[in-house]
Amino acid sequence: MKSLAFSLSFACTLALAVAAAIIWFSGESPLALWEALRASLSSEGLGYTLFYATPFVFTGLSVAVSFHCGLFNIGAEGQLYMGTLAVIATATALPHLPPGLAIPLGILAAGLGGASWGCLAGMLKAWRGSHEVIVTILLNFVAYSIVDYSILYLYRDPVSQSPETLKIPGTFSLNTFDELLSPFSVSLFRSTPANLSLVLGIIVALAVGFFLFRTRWGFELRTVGANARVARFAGMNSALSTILALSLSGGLAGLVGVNEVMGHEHRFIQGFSPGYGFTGVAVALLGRNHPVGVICSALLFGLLHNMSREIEFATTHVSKELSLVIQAIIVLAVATQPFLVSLLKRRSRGRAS
Amino acid sequence: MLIEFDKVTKRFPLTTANDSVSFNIALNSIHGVVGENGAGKSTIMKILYGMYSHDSGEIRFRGERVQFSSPLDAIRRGIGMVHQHFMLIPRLTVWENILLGQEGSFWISATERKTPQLKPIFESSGLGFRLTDTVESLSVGQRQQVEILKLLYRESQVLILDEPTAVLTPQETKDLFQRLRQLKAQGKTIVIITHKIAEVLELTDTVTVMRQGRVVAHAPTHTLDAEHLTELIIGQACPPPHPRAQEPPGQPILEVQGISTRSHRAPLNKLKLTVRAGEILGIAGVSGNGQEDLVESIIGLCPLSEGKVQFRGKTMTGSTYERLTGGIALIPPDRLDEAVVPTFSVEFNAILGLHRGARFQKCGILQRTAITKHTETLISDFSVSPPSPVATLGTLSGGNQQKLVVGRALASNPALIIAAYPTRGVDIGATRRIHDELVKRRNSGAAILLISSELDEIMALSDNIAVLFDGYCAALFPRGQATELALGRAMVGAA
Amino acid sequence: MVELLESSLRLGTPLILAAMGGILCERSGVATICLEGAMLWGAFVAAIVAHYLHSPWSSIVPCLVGGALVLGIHAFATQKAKADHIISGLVVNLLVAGSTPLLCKFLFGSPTNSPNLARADRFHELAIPFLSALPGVGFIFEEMPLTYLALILPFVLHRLLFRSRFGLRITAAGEDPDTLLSCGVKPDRVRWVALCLGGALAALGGAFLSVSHASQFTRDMTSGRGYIALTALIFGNWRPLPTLLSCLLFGFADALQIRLQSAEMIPIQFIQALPYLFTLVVLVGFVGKARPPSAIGRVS
Repeated sequence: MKSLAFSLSFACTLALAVAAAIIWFSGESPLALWEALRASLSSEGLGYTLFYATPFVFTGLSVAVSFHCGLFNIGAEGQLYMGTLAVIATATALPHLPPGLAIPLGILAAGLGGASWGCLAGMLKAWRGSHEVIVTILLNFVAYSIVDYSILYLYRDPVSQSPETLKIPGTFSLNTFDELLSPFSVSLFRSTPANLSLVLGIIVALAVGFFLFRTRWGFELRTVGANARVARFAGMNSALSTILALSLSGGLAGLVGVNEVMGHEHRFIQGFSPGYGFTGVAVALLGRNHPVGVICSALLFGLLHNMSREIEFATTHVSKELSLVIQAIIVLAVATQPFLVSLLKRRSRGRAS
Repeated sequence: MLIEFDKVTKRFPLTTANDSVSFNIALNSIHGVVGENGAGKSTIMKILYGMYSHDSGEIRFRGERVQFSSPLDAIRRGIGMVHQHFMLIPRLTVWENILLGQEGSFWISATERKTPQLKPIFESSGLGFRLTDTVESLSVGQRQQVEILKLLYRESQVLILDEPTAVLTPQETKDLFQRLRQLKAQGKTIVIITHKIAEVLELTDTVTVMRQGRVVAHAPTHTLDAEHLTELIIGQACPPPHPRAQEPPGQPILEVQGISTRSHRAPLNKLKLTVRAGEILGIAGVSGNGQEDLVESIIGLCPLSEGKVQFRGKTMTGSTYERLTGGIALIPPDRLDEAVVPTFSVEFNAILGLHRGARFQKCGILQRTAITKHTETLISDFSVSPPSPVATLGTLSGGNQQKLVVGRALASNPALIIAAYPTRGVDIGATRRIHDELVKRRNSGAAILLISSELDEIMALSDNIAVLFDGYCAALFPRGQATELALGRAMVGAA
Repeated sequence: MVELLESSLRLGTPLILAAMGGILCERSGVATICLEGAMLWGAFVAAIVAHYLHSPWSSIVPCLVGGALVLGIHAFATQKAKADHIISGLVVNLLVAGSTPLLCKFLFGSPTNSPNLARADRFHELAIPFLSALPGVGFIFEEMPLTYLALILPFVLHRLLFRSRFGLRITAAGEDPDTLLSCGVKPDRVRWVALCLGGALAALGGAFLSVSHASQFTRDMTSGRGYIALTALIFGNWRPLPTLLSCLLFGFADALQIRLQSAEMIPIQFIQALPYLFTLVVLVGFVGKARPPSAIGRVS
């Protein structure tokens, strides 16, 4: 945990410095960064930060689970769209369910939708030995096509000008925190879309931790990840673990659909994800692939995402893609941390002597 | 003196590999550096070769103080080394391997070009391969010749060979010694690192004995005899091995009935073997003659193209897991790549393969207390150090890791034990502990299939010795009737 | 049919250039999923240089340098800092995907694209006299300059890889860096060179997209071509000549996709997925016996 805290603060410092440099270079005041931070931590901004953090919890967990099995799931982006599509399909097919049934079913659909896409990649990896990075990336593009087609031809809202589906029945919606707190006349997050999906995310994170470190299947999955040959010699079925890991990983990514559709928009808007799936890699890496670490780093990335939106509003020359660059810097800092730390140590030792 | 080591000390995080080592190597001699595994003999030579840097002391080469910062420096000064694991690239040709790093011109011709340095070798004896062959198509002995060719091409005057005979058959060993004597006659100086006493006595002019990082003796070879040398190496008279029960072997436990495989490695070819209860069957053979496939066919990881394997009279068809929990125990051939996960704790390693047992999991949930208890028992039974179940396995020495692997395999009281290279890379104390345990199990009625590349180990432990050559059983010797020479002939298919 | 083949050749050009760069990188033992990033960066650099200097030829050198720098980051992370090759590759892709719109907005006010290049600022077909008049195969000799390069390059690379010191050392670095080191050559240095050269080639592939095939840079305009090139080189067993053929095959799939779009029989979304599906099928169905460099992706 100490090393986690260290790398979090290390990566953040570096990222802030780079962000400030970019903003300054664009001819704007780096103080915009400070303003954005303040805005993101105000009561309204905090709501948005938590709302953006929620998908990062799911995609971060998704990538972390695949990491534990020695796999890189770069397909979380496609899987989360498939999960979202499954929610829409379920809600459209069963419009008259009571909320007690509709909500669990919606969550299940999101998970299964993503899992099916992950499972496909898992089977190709396990049985055909195809490199999972390339397979999942290619499957992303295929998923985009399926989803685009479904939005435009199967579930399209005929009235709307933009490509999006009809709204799903209200029984499928999750309460926002604001709605939950309103009976107590507390307005902590002032009508922001932060909703119960975050609670779901935390529960799921704990479940994932239990699965990985306290169950036999998690143990097998991690052994396969460490060395598939050792696993085979211990009588484990490495193909099955690979498929399980990628299915689970896909399912976790699919849960992003719960936050987006059931918690916020109540419809599927084409291209709603600003790369949640890809950012999942950064989230998992910064969180050291540990569920608690993933929650922490997801919150951080939620904040980052919100800040870069604020900066785009506040400036004329900086676009919100700033957050991609910052993400890249953070991941680079984490991946090369041993080297950077040894460099700093050598520097300070050199000065001392 | 060509090379002088003067109080050279090298420390590693856990041990002192060389403690104030001093000795000299004379020009144009064959010098032996001998000692047990972990005595520090490879380390001192790797320091000379520029692979490690020493912490204190000095090395003089041709009277001049040197400290090579990389093998390249050493090569430039005419020092070459053949490592225990060959430094060859299998996919490239012999010629490309020889050339690598010393190409000369930018464009390389693929045709054979016999350079002056290589001429003597090519003329004096048939190599049995061409420069355009890929290294992966060569036998182990031929690969070693390529390594020597590499050194000659680089005009090395000093040739260091690290355990050169470990992978060779007795006949190949003889050829190698012949070649080394020839090279000495041509004015080269040769250093050979080994733990085999007979070879030292046969080949070397002078010998340095090392034990636990120190030099314990340095003398002309003709002043020493085998017994004296053994004592110097081990440091004490050898304790008697565990007594063997003299009961006749019982029922056949494992019957390998004419199995063949079609793997890309060395496949099996109608192999027949029987291991009985209370018997150790040793499998001798040059590595790469079907050992891996044999192990993997018994535990069901390698599909058979014909024949069958019977265990206690029944043909085995189950999964690897069913076999490994149904009375077969396995000490896998390659510890780090098949037996343990160094990044996991000792605990988790101790239940690898046993983790599905009802003791360690209920409804899929791992039972931590039972796991810890099991690990503590293993640790105390096999005196694994450090005695901590939560330590990361990678921090343990190879010997301690292997003791854990052996303990784990034997924990289930198996009827059949497959011990593949059970003491590879393990220090002498752990080796003895493992040997005693195997004999103990044999005495109490377990059938043991012992695969090893060390003929000494096979001959000391086995009741019967089968020689594996090209995937079939080339010869079978009862205990006491196998001589090194006879085994060696069978190992190359000349029986 | 000739039209379709010509279109395949044209769409195969960026793939060939990138895949040849990828071969250099991967054969030296570095897993290079950042081919995508190098291409995208090359497309961006070429477009803005051609825009400001009003000549497509002036964009070549900056583009090569840019590509070398991008994979230089990869080389630094994997060789100097010993980072995981896949993670480092993703970082590079992310960095390029993020910084190109940032720079676009900074320079031109819009994050999505650069301004349209005037006709004179782009590459055009260069007909080779006589040869282009040949019946049947003439179309090969009436192509963009970079397409000629893409057709010659694999043969040059073949000779370089299998008959030169440089190629021998690259192969050795990818097969067994420890052995190469024991022969007195530093494998990380070999990999630095291979990556920078490879990055330059991949960037040139990107340049083809923005100043030859299209007339501007648009956000994420490579849209997965780097990964397709990677699959092509795996399908080509990490050898230049088979890879040339597999790139042309992938180019054909792309050409077919564009042709089918105008047919309006199948929903356009599915037709657009065709190149990716085709790549997947090739990867899953036919790449099995390929033998990657032994040490690829291994962190020393």
